[in-house]
Amino acid sequence: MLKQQAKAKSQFNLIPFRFSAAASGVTRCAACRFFTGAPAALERAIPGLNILSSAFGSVRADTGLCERHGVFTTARGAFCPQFEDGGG
Amino acid sequence: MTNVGSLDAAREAAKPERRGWKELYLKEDWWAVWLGLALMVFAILLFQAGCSNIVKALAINPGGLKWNSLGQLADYFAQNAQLYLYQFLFWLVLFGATTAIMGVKLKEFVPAFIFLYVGSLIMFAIAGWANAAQFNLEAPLVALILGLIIANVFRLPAWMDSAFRVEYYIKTGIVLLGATFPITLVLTAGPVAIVQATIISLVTCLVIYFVGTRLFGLEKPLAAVIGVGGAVCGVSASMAIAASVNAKKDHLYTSITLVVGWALIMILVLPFVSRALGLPAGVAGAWIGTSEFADAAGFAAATTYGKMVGNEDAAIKSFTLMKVIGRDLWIGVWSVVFAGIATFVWEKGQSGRVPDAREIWWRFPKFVVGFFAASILMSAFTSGFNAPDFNTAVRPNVIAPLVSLRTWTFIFCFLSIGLTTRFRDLHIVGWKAFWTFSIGVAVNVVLGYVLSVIVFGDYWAGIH
Repeated sequence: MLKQQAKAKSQFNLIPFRFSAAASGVTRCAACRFFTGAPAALERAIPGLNILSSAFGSVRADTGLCERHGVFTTARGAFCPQFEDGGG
Repeated sequence: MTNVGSLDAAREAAKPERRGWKELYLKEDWWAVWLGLALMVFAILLFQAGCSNIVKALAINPGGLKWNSLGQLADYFAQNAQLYLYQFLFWLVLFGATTAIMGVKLKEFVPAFIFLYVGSLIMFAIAGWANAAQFNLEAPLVALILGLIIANVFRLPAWMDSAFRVEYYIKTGIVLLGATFPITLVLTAGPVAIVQATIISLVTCLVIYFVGTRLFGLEKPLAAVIGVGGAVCGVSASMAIAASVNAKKDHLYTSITLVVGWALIMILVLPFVSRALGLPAGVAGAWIGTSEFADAAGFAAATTYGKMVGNEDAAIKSFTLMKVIGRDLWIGVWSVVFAGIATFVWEKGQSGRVPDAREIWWRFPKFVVGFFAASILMSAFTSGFNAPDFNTAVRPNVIAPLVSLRTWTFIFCFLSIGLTTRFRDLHIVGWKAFWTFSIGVAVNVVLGYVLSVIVFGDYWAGIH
C-alpha cells in the first residue's frame, strides 16, 4: 500500500492537476470554462478554419481550443492545474 | 490515500468520452453518408416504380444548355421556373434540417443558402454558355473566382458562413460519387492508390518536418502540424494533429494560411500545366490527387481539368482513388504517431497524454464509409442488368440524375470555397514556416508527377 502511495505521489508530482467539486470528482477539459469544443463556436474562434475544413467533421473528433493556454487539446484532457468548472 | 484516489480519478478522466451514437447525427461526415445513400436509394426506388421523372426533375441543371443568347437563357428559366423552385426547396430542406441538427442556426442558414443557391445557378448558367469552353469558363473555376471576388470586395456578414459549408457539400458529393463508381474499379485500383499515397504521405510529411525543425529551427509542434497538413489533407489533418502535439492557436493559423494559399494556387495552376503537358485525364487526376492538400480544392482542380479535356469522369475517378481512398486514410495514423512522439520523445512522459490506437477510427473520415457503401450497393443493383438495358434504362434514369445531384453539391462546395476565403482573415505567416511548407509543396508536386506520370502512368491512363 505504501509502495502504491509512493508511486502515486511520484506520478502526481509529474502531472499536477486539481479536481473540481463535480459529483463525479473527475475533471475534463470539456467541462472547463476555458475550453471551446462546440463546432460552431470553434469555427468562430478560428477564422479561416471553415475555408477548406470544418469543425463539424469526424477528423476533428473532440479536439478543441483551450483559451487559457492558447493550445489545442482533446475534450478528455484532464491534467491541468488551471481547470475552472464551466458548469458543463 | 488522497493521491491514490486522485490518480484513479485521473485515469478515469483520461478515458475517452462515450462517443458512439451521438456522432451519427452530430458529425457532418455521417450526415453526408445518410444523405448520399438516401438519395441513391430514392433514385433506385423511383426507377423501380417507373417514376424516374421525379428525380430527373429534381436533378435539373442548366450546365448542358449551350445557350447562345441571353434571351434563350431567359426563356429556359421561364419554362423551368417551377422545377427550380422545387429543387431549391429540396436542397434547402435536406441541408437546412441536417445542419440545424448539427447546431447551425436555421435563421442564418436559410437566407445564406438562398444566396448560395442563386449563385450556383448563375455559375451553371455561365458554364452552359455555348462558348464557355473557349474562355476556360469551367464551372469550378468560375465559382471559385467569382466567390473570391464577392468575399473580398464586398463584406458579406460572417453569419452567412452558416450555409457556406464547403466540407459538408463535398462529402455529400463524394458519397454520391460512390454511386457511380464501380466497386471493381475501387478494388483493382485501390492498392496502387494506397501505395502511391503512402509514399507521398511519408515523404512529404518527413520533408516538411525535418526541413522545418533542422533547417529553419521551427517549433516541433508547428512543423508537425504543417507537415501533416501538407502530406494528408490540409487543415483537417492539421486540426487532427494539433491536439496530439498540443499545438498552439498560432500553429493552426499558420497551417490555415499556408494550406489555403497553396491550395488556391494549385487549383488554378495544375489543370493548365496538365493541359500544357498533354496529360491524359486519368493521369492528371492522380497527379492532382497526389499534389493537392484538401479534398474540396482537389475536386475543383480535377473537375476543371476533366472539363477542359472532355473527360471529367476519368479525372474525378483517379483523383478520388488517389486522394480520398489513398491519402485521407492517413489522418488517424499520423495522429497516433505524433501523439506517441510528443509523449515519449518531446515531453518524456510529462504531459500525461498517451497515444491511443483508437484515434485511427475516431478521426477516420467517415464519409469514405459512405463512398464504399454507395459503390457496393449500386454495383449490386446494376449487376442485374445487361449492357443494353443498363445504357437505355438505368443510366439515363438513375445514374445521370445522381451525377447531376452530385454536380450540384460540388458547385455549392466550389462557390463556398470562394465565399469563405476572406484574405483579410488569414494570418500572416513567418518566412521560415512559409519556406518550409513551400519546399514540401515542391517535393509533393515533383514526386507526385514522377509517380503519377512515370511510375504508374500507364495504370492511371487506363482509368476511364
